[in-house]
Amino acid sequence: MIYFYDKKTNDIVGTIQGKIHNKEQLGMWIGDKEKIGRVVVHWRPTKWYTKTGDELPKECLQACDEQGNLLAFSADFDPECPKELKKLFQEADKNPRILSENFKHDPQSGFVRQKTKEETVATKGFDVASLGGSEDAQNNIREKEARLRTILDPSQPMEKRFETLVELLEVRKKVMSGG
Amino acid sequence: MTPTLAFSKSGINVLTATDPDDFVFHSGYDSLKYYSQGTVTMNVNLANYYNTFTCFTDTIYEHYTVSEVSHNLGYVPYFVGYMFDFPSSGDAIQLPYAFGDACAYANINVYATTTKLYFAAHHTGGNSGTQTFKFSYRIFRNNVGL
Repeated sequence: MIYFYDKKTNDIVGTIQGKIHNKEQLGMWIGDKEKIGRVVVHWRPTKWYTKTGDELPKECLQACDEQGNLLAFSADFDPECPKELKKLFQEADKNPRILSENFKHDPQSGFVRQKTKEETVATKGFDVASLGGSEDAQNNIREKEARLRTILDPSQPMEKRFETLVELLEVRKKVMSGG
Repeated sequence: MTPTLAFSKSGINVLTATDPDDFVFHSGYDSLKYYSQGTVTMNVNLANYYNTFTCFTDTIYEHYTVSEVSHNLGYVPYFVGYMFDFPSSGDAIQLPYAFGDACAYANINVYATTTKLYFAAHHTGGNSGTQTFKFSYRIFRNNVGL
């Protein structure tokens, strides 16, 4: 996994997923190299397995079967980072958004640290309220979105979906006529 | 005759099948080749609006922000972009997203050049604080021939 951070704020601005990266992926960048830093979290194999799922001791890694094929078939990987961050990077490997949501880059350790409460509430997600406008306008948008969802939801009874469509058209008609 | 490598779905004879839907893989049909995937978090400083307008009695602030991912493939690849937590927390939508009403709009796009993938957020909003857009991308090696 590779993560990118804003050199000024230490906010995590993006990731490239994966445990093993080729040369091309290592050449990728998110944003401007001058302003955005990069940390490559290396993963190393810790346990090896044969094709049938049996664990293969490290000293047998070069062992082959009768046909000359290597016995080692798959492996468990661990991130190379401070012990207390291992679980985090294992989770981030599946859901990398947890890094930018809850963590910042930590220049001291060279990895990440948990955001403080103040840092967490300082940013807000993109939603209807964030578009601006009066409370009434925002409520209108929310109601419209809710109606559209009902209309498009195949699990809703057809009658209800149709009634909601009529409601939406009535509201639209009123708006168009300036009512 | 061109050699073919094909895997049919369970229960279907690979030697006689002709419908593309009957195969899980067929070398005669092109397929997507994975290149890279990841996330982009766009933090918009709402104090940096580029324009304002008045709608009824409200002042509306307009914002335009772009985040980029370099892919360096040398051609426009096949790609997809997603936005998270919109319209509700936990949702994911495939970009582009467009919304417009009397006093508010949002136009969130993803586009590519031969070297980069761009996420662009053009929208109304307030004039203070930071707003976060959560994106995810998938880039494939396929050259779409544009």
